Amino acid sequence: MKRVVTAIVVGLVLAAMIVPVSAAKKVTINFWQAGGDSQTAPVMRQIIKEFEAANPDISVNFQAVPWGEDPHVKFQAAIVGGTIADVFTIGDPFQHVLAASGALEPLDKYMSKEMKRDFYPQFLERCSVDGKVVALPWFGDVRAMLYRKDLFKAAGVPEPNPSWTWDEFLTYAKKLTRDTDGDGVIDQYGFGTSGRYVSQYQVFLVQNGVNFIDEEKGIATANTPAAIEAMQFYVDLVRKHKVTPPGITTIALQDIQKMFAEGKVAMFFDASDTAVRFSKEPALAGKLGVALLPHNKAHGAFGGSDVIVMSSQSRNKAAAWKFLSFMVSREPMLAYCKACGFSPVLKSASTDPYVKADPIRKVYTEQMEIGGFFYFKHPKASSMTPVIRAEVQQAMEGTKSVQAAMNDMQKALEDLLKSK
Amino acid sequence: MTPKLKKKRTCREIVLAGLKYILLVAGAIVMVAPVLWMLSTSLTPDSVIISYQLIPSKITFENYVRAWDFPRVFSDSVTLGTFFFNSVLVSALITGPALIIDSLAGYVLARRDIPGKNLLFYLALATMMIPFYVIAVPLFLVVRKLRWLDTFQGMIVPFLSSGFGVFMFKQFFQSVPKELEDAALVDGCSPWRIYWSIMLPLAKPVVGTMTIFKAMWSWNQFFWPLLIINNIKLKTLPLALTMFRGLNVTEWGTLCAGMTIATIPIVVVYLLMQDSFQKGIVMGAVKG
Amino acid sequence: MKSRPVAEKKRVLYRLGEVLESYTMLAPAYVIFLVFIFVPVVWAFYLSFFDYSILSMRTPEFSGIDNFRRVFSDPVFWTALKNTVRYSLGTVPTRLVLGLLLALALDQANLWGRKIFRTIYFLPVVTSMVAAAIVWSLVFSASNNGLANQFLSLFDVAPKGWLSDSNLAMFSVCVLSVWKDLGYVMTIFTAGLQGIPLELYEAGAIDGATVWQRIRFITIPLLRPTTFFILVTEIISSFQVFTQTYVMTSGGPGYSTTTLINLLHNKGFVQFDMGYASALAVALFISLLFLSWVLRKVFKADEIVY
Repeated sequence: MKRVVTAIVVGLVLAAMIVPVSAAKKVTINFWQAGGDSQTAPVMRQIIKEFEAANPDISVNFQAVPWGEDPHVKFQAAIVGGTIADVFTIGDPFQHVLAASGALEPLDKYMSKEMKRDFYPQFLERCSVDGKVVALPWFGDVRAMLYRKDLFKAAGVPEPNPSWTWDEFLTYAKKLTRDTDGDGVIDQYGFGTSGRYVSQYQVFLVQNGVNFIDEEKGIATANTPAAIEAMQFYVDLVRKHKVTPPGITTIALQDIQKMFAEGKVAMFFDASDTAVRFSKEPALAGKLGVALLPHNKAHGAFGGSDVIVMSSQSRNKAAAWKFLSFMVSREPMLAYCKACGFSPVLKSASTDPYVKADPIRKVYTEQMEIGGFFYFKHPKASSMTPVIRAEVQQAMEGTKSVQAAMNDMQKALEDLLKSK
Repeated sequence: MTPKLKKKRTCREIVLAGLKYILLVAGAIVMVAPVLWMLSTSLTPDSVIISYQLIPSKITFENYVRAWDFPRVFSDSVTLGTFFFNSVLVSALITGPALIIDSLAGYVLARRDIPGKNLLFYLALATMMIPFYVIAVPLFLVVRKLRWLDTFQGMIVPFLSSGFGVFMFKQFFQSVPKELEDAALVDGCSPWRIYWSIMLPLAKPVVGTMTIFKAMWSWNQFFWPLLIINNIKLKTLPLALTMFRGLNVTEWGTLCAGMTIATIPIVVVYLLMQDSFQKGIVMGAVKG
Repeated sequence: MKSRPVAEKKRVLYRLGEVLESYTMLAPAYVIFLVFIFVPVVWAFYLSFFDYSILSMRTPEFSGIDNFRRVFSDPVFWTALKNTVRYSLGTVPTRLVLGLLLALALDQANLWGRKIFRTIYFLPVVTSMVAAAIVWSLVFSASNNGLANQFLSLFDVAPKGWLSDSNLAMFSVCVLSVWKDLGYVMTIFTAGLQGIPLELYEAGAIDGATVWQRIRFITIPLLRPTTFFILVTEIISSFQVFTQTYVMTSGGPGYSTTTLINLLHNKGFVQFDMGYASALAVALFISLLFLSWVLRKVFKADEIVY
């Protein structure tokens, strides 16, 4: 008995001596990806494998958190609980929500000048708070117009030219909304959209030279004449001209995509990953067109970006930075963008044939340059979404006039901007 | 006159019985249709252009194979089997101990004469009126203090007792004739002995009912594991199903196959315990 | 002479031992309640008087009843309350009536396929709400592919936006919820019916009572404890509705399916405004307590050993 105890004690002491030695040699960092799904996981794991091969002293524990698991809620809880990963990705503009609470490690001190210079400035600007970089962009994207060439041809509508306007867009949408089999029921709609996503209608405001809030002045601008005019145009598409399929106030984007693939919708806005996916779909061969969005007073296209951040709670910041900077370097970024159909955000990546030669990518790059804009860069950004969405949905449904909805939105946004 | 009246009545009864039958069958169709649809979609080949049909035009088990191997893209060592095992483990470790803990408390509240009994009973009832979301954040902080975030015990221990369980067992034990217990008391049996060797065996049907309720609840719980579990190896089936829903691509066939796999075990538990389930409800909820 | 105090002492000791043992037997359940429910509840109550966002790591500032004022002056709160009451009114009575009818219909021992019917009607109860909500959002899909619209097209009715029309969305959510929990109510009523002594029906039959009269004057009054039980549990759970609306509509269109818990989830977990969320939680808890008290009075539940 005594011997057993002695053996255990000796064993424990030995283990205690060995563990710190090996721990000093190998550091494990946690990395979580918001929105990791079956499409992204394989390439992400490949990138991590390459990183680990190049840095044998660091091992990366990777967890993909699908959007269905509410990664932003989960990450906030983990920050509160002190269990947040060392490095994690989030959807823009959530970095501003987190940065406001001090959860993110400022990255300037780690970054070289060359590194900073290689990012497209508008993306890096998205990741800065009071001049400090708190996150790094990891890919970028805008919405462009996806359209069905075959349906345009059948309806006798010319394909959109790069400088088309709201009027042309409306005319086309009306012509494309029709009864194709002659049974008296409309079975094809000009424009697919959804009241569920602010990105789907914020773009009309920007194309009209306004937005829901004025970020620089910190005031709400939802009931300015230009904003109301833009929203009226959007709501009229649904209620007056009826060029959108029924039941779109809460529809999922996936369903719009499905309708487009089935030929029930002729145009809709979507990001380049969908365009790339559709371009590979045999059933859509030769039928898919990608064009710039129409414009009114200005050009505008909703841009999105996933960003990668380091937790201020991380205990292995040196290793975390090594990994983070590897992730945003040229090759890994290109590998990820190629696999998922997004655009890289490094200038040095523009020489790659993926960015240079691909016709779909070209349209998206041009769209980004002439009118890319992002969601609000504000700590309350994620609280604004439900407010804007709820009011627009009510206007789309006609339970409120556009004017009334925008007035109520204005009030709610003012309250949010006022609150701490 | 009398026979005629009688005949007329039976005639009416037949019509009524027929009508009742038609309504019952129609209702049953409505009840199973969504479940059948899930099954049918799980057997239909997946493609971008999906059409939802009640009867699949072409049957394939590909989705099940895909669903099983699907989690491997996230981690080599993980299949749907891992999540399945986790779900079984968590459900079993909640259901088993919870039955003992709830029935112990139910027995004492029903039968032992101790100070503060009523207050304790009302406290147990009050727990039923607290929506989980009300306490989720403080609970998260409590579990963090215990260092149970991202562990099995974090998913299990907070749910080892429930007001509903205590209530059901108390109602049942109250209805057991006192004489059974008195005989044992004369023999000098301790409360624990009486509970274990006399009362608990009598409570079999209530145990059946509570097994189903507890198993069902713990098998399907979603929000709490979502909040505390990050390690993919510890995830349960409901969490795993979110992986099938990508940002842009949801593979409905695979998702439905996964949901079917996640539904079958609990249906089997129900079918196995169905009879004692019904009896237990009579004893726990209704009598008392 | 000596034996009596000893016996007394022994009895006291025995009693003490018994009481102690009883408390020990209660301990596991109540320790768990204490740590994982009561402490968090008290915490939530406490937070409701503070201006606190746990994410911001600021020390909470005492703000008195300011959070409650914010809740009650928020129009979204009143909409959410209205929606929750609408949901409750839409589901609880429907389930109660349909559940009772089903239980009565399936109560005849000679009914063919009784067990199969019971199993089928109970099936949705055991499925997970997340899975059910996903499947039903496909059923209610706005395009004519959805099962609901396919059904309507049989009668040449134009497809409806079940989840995208604010007049229909709550209805659709209620349909799913009734579907999901009807079997539970049926099962409890079935149990209640089994508790009614057969002799009473026989007596009724001799007195020449019709089926309807028997139900009206024997079954329903005797089912009072059962009905009370179902009503209380159903109302409490209907005020906690969340998963359905979260998965199917995220509270939309507009705020038409935003329920109290949707609002709580949004404030507490999306905005991490714990003060508001806690105040809302406290208000909800108190109204549920009050509601069950009213129900007890209405049903004279004190007479029903409960």
